[in-house]
Amino acid sequence: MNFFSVQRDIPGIDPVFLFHIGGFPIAASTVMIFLIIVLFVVFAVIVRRSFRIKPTRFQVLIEYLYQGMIDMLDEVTNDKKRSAIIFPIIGSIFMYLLVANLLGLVPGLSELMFDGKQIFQTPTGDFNTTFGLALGAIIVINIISIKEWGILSFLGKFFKVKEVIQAFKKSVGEGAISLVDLFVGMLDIVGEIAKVISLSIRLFANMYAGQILMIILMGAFAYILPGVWYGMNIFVGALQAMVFAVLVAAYYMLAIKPDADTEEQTQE
Amino acid sequence: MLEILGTIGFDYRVAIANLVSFLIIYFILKRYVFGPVKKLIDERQATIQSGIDKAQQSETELLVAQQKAEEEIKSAKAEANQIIAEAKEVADVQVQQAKNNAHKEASQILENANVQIEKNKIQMEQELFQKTAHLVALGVQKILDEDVDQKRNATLNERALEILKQH
Repeated sequence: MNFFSVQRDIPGIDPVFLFHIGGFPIAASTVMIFLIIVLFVVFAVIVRRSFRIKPTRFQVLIEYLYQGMIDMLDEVTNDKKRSAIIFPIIGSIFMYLLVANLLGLVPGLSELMFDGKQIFQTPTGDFNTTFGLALGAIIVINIISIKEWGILSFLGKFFKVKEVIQAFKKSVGEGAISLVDLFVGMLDIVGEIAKVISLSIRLFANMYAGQILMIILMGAFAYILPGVWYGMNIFVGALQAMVFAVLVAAYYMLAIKPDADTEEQTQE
Repeated sequence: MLEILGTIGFDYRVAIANLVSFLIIYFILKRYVFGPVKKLIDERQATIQSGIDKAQQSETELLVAQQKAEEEIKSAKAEANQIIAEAKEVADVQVQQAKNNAHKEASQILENANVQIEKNKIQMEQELFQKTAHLVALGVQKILDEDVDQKRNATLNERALEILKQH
């Protein structure tokens, strides 16, 4: 035992299964999400009971955060109407990830054990959480895209058969070149899968690496240095939540039909 | 693909469980947090806007009232000036009329006085003549030293008067 260091095992990359309900495994990250749900329920009750037209300081803080999220979204979409449509999902992702990332930094929480396993695991430190979230976001975005474009136009973005036929009607040369577009269109399907992978791995890797680095630093010297890194992790946690939310918003904007004004500006 | 993901701990069951858990969070936040907060912000904005509108309306009403008051004051001043001018005119007329009346009355008084003076003068002259004639008659009577009867006295007086009148 060393007074100047805190030795802890580096957590594995696999999810920590605590128990099973009807054969369905319950992971430590899922338990932490349940805790987050409870916190949000409490928060919702506070909002419902104490929020008034004349705000308290806490209400001002929450409204400031709310307005900040809307402004951030407006900057991405450049369209208040679009922002209003996707705000609930983007805002939820941001708040969920923010709380999840910050809750993982609460001292002692990860020390609570059940059957020799930690009860609470930072949700974003489990790849399944980030993957599920990213997959869900991309599926929702594609559903919105299908609604906007129609099923045929949506599929036409990936399978540019119509363009190939038109190009071959003009000339064989143009037709040959259009085959490249056909191939590129098909690559966009890979792109959609890549979005899920990149979104999920970016968040997971950042948070997981942060945790490991914290354990290494605590093991080397438990004072001052981990404190700095701790502060850094709070910033990183908030930043990663914002990056994830902004990227989902950006993917949404790429998936929808551009407005007439935006299209004109792009052509210019 | 799943094998590669498996190396970083992918388990579709946990992924689904965590996604469903997120959907619960999404529902709570959308329904019980974002909705009420947005409603409150909108209500406050509407209250502020309503206050601004009312203030602007009051300002406009104040301006209109001020303009109206200025117009009323202007109108009242004009009316007052008109009344003063009319009063002055009436006063001038009345003063002129009073002056004329006074002149007329004064002339009348003067004329009456002159007439009266003339009358008095004539009367006095007549009385003077009569007294003078009487004196003359008395004088003649003394000179003549005779008794003159009543008839004769009257005749003498008349003659004395005629003589005085001739002179």
